Amino acid sequence: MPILRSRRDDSRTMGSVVQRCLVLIFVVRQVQVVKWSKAGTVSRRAEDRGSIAMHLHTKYDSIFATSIYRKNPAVYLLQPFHSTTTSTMRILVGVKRVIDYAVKVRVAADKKGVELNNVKHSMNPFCEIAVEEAVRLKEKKFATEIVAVSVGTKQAQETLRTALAMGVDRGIHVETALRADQELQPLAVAKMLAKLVDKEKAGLVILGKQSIDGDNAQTAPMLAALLGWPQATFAAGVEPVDENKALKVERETDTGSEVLKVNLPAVLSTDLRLNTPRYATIPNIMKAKKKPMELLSPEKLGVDVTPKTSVISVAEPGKRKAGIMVESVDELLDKLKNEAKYRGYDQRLYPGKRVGKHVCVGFMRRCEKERKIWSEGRERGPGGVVE
Amino acid sequence: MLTGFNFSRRAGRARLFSPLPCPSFGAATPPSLIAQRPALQCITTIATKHSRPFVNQVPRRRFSSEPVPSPPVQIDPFNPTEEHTHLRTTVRAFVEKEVDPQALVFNRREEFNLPLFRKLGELGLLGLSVPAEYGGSGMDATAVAIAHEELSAADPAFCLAYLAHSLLFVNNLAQNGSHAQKSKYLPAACAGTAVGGMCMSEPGAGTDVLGMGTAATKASDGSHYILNGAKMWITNGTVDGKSTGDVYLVYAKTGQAAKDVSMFLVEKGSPGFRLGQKLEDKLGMRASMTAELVFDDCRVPLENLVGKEDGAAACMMRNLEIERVGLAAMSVGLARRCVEVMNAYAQERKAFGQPLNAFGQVQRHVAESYAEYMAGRAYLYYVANQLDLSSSGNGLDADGVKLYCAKMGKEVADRAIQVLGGYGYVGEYQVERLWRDAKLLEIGGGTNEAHHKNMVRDLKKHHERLL
Repeated sequence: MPILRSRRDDSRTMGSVVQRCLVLIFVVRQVQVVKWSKAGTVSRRAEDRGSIAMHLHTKYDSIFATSIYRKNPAVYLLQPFHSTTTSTMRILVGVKRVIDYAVKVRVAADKKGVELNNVKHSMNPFCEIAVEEAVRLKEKKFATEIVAVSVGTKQAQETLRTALAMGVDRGIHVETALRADQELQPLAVAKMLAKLVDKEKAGLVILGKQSIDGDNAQTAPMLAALLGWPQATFAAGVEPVDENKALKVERETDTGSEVLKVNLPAVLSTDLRLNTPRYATIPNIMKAKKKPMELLSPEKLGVDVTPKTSVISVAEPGKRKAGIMVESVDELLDKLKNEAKYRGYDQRLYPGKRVGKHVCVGFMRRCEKERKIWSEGRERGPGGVVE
Repeated sequence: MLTGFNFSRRAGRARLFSPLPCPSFGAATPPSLIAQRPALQCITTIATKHSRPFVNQVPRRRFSSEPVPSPPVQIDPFNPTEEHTHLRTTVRAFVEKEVDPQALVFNRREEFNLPLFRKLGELGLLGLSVPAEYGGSGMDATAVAIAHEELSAADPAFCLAYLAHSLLFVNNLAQNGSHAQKSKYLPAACAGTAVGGMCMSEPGAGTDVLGMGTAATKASDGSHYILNGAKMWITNGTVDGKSTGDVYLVYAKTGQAAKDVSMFLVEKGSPGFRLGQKLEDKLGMRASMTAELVFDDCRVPLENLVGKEDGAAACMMRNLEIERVGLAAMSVGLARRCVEVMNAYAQERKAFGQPLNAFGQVQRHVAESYAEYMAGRAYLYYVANQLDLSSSGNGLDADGVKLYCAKMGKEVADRAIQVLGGYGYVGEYQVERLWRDAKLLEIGGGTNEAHHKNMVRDLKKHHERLL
């Protein structure tokens, strides 16, 4: 049975006993899934790892490999590995239409959200980066086709056209009347994307790390979990390795950057530093209108998009007082000691015990330390690099 | 400064995306206005050929699975098709990121920003109206207006260099040249590797263009033409201040009659072709290079004759139409920026305990400027939306729109300076430069007086009833 052989193959590369056990469990699950699928029919329920089942079904020569995400226990279980014999590599890119980043948002009169009418909308900047990365991967001959998906109102088609003009091959518009910034929620989007990954047989999904309206940053992790695929979030560098069977991904973390090898298929989410999106050239804008766009709805995909939470009220943030400029570090220390009030405490930057008094002692210590470092003329960047 | 623009920017952009962009357009376009466009019917028949599917038609179904939209979609006159909207968004994003930041510097230094110009080529703007087979983007007159409007909002001088290249050279050759000429010159010109221009005015012939002195005669053995004369006020006449630009379309007399004018392609380095002088110390448009070009027994191969001998007067008139639309669009673009600046300033700046826009005098400046800007913009897109680049005989409105918009741009810029007071008078606040640039549009591409003359000539034909 090919599955057992692949387990053996994998076990040679396995490091730990724990990982081996996980592989075993995983393979058992897969065998069950295959059994359910019987001769020729496949369970397509994403929650049942339907895509993997289908994958197994269509690619009996698939081997399985694992990669355990080291730090974030919430994700990265185990992943199936694409066969090297496939010549098509389809990338699915999610694009979202949001209020333009340069627009100063206002709370709507009914306080149920921000004002959307008569406000400039454009493609979410992180989605632009995702599109750009997909196009670059296609230019590198890593991918053969790019499909962009947008869930939203009819105007989302404008955003899809932008993606098509940037080099995406075709678009899928899932139309819904829900407000994209608060009613259309990450789990619903992730479920729809999972269905589409299944339908399109995509080998890689690239999403923006978050949309600048909802700022949830949940869709990519949820999609990875639904598919049972590995994920690399906050990607700042992507490079195909192992004869295009895996990606080397540099990702941004709170403490520095980290490099992962992610076996395919996988879900990526893009960070700001990954690339600079190109301008759609005018000839490509003209070509984009001829590219196909498929129209779907959540009902057609069989996904319930009813919001699970609702926004009760939205308010403008309070006005901040103006700051003051200090002439020297000494003056700064003096102000901090005698005038500054404790407002918040950033554990990442200033680890240490929280202080009950007004002035944050950890910060004071840090200032002293920084001053010492500066006076010695040493340069120091934030955080280190973990490889 | 940026935050100051936010309000006006929002107001400006909202128009692009809302189905009802402003109260007086879209659904509210009066049926009478539509009925007043008899020319449209014949244009729409050519529509498919020239990919102009937008003029007053019911929008076609874009995708087979898409239901026919019930209520009819209103056509935004400023962005008649999705591609136009997309073009505008792209150019505006490019302008904000690349053109705006360099404008003050290059205008002060009186230098042409060649690297930025080449980026326009990468974007596909230089060959906007050229078919794809010659390296262009295959768009129409409306797209030309959009590109000029957006570029000029940030830097009219840079936009003028763009106009001289993309309309006076590239579009002119694309409309009038032979296949061989187009294949030879257009790809480089569309990519921006070659900078071109057009030579019409002379030291002694401006509005009276057919009275030009430059003449071309065939050599005695008939193997080439010999060009003699000088051309003045040539935008892109030089790029570096030392030598000529790369390639020009030159009008010259080839016969005795007034209309015996021919057009020639003259390349940099042709024997007898040189830079006369770089024109310094212009009032405005300082980031575009203007020069005098001299032809001293300049040798021009026979195959560089564009069109027929003595047949260039029609080419000239046809290309002047789109040039004037481009210049009117530049005026509309700079007027928009002026309205944005004065509107933002009038909100922020306080006097006597109130923002400036609480005072009637300032309100008049802002409101009249906006109304005139919108009137000019509406006229501009009315003309552009029905201008077929391969046709001629649209002179009346091409003259009219430039006549109106040039004056409008200058006056709006003037009011912007007035609202900003002392700040308006210095370069950092942009409107001072726009005011200086705006003046050129009453002179270049036809003086106001030339428009008056042409328009009355055309209006005499319609003396009984206007369309």
